[in-house]
Amino acid sequence: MVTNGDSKGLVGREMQKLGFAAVGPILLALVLVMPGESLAAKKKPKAPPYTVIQAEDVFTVEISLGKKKKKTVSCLDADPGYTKEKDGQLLFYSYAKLIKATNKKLKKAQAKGDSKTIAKLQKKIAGYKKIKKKAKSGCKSPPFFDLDPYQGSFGKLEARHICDRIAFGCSDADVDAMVAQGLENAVNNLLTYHPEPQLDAEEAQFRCHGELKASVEARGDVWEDCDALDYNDVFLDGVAYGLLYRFAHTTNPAIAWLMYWLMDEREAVSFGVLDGRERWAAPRYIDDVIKHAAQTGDFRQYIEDFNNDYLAAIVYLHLGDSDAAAPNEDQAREIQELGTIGNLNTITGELNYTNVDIAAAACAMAGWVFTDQTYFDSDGNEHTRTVSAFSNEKACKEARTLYAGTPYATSVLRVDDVIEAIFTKRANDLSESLAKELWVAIIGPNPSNTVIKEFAQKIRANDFNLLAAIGIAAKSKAMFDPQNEKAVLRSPLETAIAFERQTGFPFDPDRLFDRLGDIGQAICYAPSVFGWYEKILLAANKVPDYYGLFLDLIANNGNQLETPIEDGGLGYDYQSILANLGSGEDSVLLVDRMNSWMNLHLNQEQKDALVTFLDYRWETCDYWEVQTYGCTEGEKFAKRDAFDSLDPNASQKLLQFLYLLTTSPFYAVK
Amino acid sequence: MGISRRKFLELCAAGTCGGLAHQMYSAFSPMRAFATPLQLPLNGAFKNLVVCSFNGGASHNTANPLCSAYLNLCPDISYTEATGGHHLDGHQVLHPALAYFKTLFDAGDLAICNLTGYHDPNYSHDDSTNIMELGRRYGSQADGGWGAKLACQIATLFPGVSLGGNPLLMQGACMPGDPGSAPTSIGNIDNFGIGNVQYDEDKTTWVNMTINNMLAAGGLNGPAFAYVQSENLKYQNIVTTVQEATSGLTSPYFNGLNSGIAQQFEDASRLIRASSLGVRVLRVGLGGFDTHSGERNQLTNLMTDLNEAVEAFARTLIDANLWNDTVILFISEFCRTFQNNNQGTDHGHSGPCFVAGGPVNGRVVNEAPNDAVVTAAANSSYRFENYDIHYWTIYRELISAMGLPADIIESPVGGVANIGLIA
Repeated sequence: MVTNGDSKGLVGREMQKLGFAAVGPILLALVLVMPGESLAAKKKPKAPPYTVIQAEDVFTVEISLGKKKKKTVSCLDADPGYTKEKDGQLLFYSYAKLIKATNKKLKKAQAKGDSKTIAKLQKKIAGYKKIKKKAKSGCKSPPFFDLDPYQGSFGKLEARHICDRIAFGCSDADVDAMVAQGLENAVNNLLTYHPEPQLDAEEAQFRCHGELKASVEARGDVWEDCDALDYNDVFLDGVAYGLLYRFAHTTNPAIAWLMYWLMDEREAVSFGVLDGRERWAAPRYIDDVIKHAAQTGDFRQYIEDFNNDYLAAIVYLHLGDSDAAAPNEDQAREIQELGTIGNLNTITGELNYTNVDIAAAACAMAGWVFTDQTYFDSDGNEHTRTVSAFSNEKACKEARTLYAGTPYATSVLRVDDVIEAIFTKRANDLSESLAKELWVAIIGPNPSNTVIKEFAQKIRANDFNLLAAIGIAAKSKAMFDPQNEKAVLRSPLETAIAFERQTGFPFDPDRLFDRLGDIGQAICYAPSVFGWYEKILLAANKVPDYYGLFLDLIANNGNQLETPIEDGGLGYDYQSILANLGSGEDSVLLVDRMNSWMNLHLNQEQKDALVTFLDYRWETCDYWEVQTYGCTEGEKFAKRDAFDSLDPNASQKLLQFLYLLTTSPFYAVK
Repeated sequence: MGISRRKFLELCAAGTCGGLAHQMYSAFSPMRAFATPLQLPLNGAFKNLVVCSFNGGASHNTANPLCSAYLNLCPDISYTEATGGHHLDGHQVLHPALAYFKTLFDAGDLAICNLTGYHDPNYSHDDSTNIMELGRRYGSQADGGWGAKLACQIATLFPGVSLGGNPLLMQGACMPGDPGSAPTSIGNIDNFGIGNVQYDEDKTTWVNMTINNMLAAGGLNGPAFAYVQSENLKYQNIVTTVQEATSGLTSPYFNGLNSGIAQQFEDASRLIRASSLGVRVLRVGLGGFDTHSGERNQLTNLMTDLNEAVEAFARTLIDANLWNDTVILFISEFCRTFQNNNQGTDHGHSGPCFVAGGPVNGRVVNEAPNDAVVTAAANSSYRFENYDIHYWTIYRELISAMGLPADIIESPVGGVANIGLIA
């Protein structure tokens, strides 16, 4: 072996002291509770006087117990109680159960004739009852869970809030228009699809060459249209760029946001599974499954389209070559778990289906086979694409019972039977699952079972139309309750698109796609069928990539922001953000403008901090500055350099400022 | 109680669902679950694997054959012992700039595996890189790299770290659907992955001071805002942990070295020596190997930087008694053709692969191509398309020697079955 000159001999290899000890039991415990196991009833041990909960399982309401005496009560759904931490667990004690348990003790004390204890327990029960009574209505229908129509004022703040929640964000002009329309019309308008042929044409250009025709021609290059007759003349990443461009520029931002939600929150897919002969399937999935569903809001149609889609169900979820004799169960599981009812019942937490149900659905879904199809492009060249066809030979031969042994038992032979069973017999479970996920995405975390049921009922009444459901949520009192203000996390993609829409600041879709990919949120390339989870995208080990996204696209100008389009840049004019400043208080005006546009909800102290940021810079004090600024030579100090929007160098400070705003925690919540 | 979709992802984020993930999804390819995160104790022949990528396709002249056919085909860019090449076994020389590699070879710590490649060669930089870094022939980037999969098997604080970039090799989540469980990527230890605002430290400080002032001014509350703040704080703690664990771990051997690869190897040496971090799989990289013209100067510059960096790294670990626990695997997406008309080389396929380290059974593995082999290759496609050693055989041997499951890497097709890389 090599040494550094002095012979040290062989180094003994250290044995690692790491092992299964700590991890094993946790894994074992988790494995034991996962779905797919037997549903056989187990003998329940004696119930403890409390329920072990997660912090997000409860909400709090404040009640008045007399003059100036207020009490905060925790509610587990509509049940008032209090919480207590013990041995690392959060325990919920229900007043109803406490009354019952104390009554038992009281009876024992009464039997013994223990008057002191009797008086003590009676006082306790009276106290519990008083709190329970006072908290009853608050727990049942607190204002932040109120789905009744909002009747309050509707100004720019409320319009921006709506835009943040059900669209990707709106420009100031759009917000003004919404205020003029009023809440009802503004929301209805957002949720009505307006054709935008120009944007459709631009999206098609991205799908063809990954950029706009205008950009190519501005550079002096020749644009060649993709061959309309060549199915596979598609640039897969360009489909993703086109989608990002659409999100940023559409006049239908709520429809676009619903597309994003469907791609993320239901069954996500990845273009990564397509080979060269299957590229045609990517735009088909976006247009026929996602776009169509978002424009109509028809959730049942979405589930049907997804299940018949080549990319989504046939390739990504393996319905292709699934033979009823030994069917692939992937889509049979996911249509239930992610697409519709959820593996666990939203209300009861019980399993919604068993492995036997998955097998029954898998048989009904079998029968798709792959086949090569020859075609000719417009130049007469022969090509081949892979498509799917239905083969009765591989399809299910005998109907099976889905949800056997339950009130939902249904005989299913084909996938239509499965979908029919889910949308009719499991309508409650499906609507409750949708209600919860929509609520969490649009209004706030941790809805109570009571409000989920109420929202679910409205979803059913609207025949599972997502646009209608979103409209109800958007116009509700809960939407505007202070407790739901800034209560929802933005994913990095949502943050970037919101910034583009609210400020007009452009991102190059190609570059944005790459940077989002660094975080793990490359649109159209979901990491798994689960899609993305905001908490993970914003987790600690993603922080460098999150900062890196905005550092690259804003502060360090990886966008080539100012570079003219003919030189491959974005040709951005800063005056769109700095317009009408120049009054001598530019920093104050700019801070107010961005606080408003970006819907940041900053207080005065925070705005002052930003004004200071704009009007000063951090640098080392030199000899000549000691007298002028009173700084210490060689030490860092904040030197005044008032922000002037008319200064040709203002853009540098502006970019620092925008980077600061986009990466601050204030903008990661909406 | 069961586990809902979101709850499951939360548990994954907390790192408690390793075995469970496999239990549920390993047979279910859309999940892209990596092999079971076994969280194994590392009790193999060595603990630390550093993968050094030569990006762009490294030339055969890093260690060229001495047969006359080769020298005639590469008259301006090959070496002999007379022109400074370092003697190996009489059939091949090391590039003149690789003096310390020669020291390693003489000490039995460097193996040179000739004609290493993979089946169905691909000459595209991107596609070939994917094949090399996925460790499987037919996969997509969504599958993640084999370095990440390897790191995911190890239960330490930071099992996998990518230095100087985050290529496919180290990308991919340990848990399905959980990009948060990917190995850590560090630009360098000092800035830890986040660059400066407009490349200026003072501007960055001013931004950070302002954000801190804003946060100190109260305002928003609620769980969503608290979550973002706490994760930012957690990240700061990670930075502090790594920086504290590595502070003071300087090495005089890196003094005066300014290249990017030296910076990466220095950081690698700091991370390995900081035992509390448990860094076991590292990736470093060096670009500029796409030498279509003027190869001689370019390759000399690259090999000089590499030699200095590896020497400083090895000497540092030798002093720390860690060299015998460390292996450096040098990979490149492909080797190159014989000399072209621009005194450069074009995209080829198989070539020499270096494996260095205290545990390595150093020697020439598979004698360098002779006149007959060179002539046949030149006459067919002007490059070595066939291979005697499959890259994946090397990967699998090294992973097995670490005591980890080799099936992270697809079974190789062809080539020698057993190289015996580790002593």
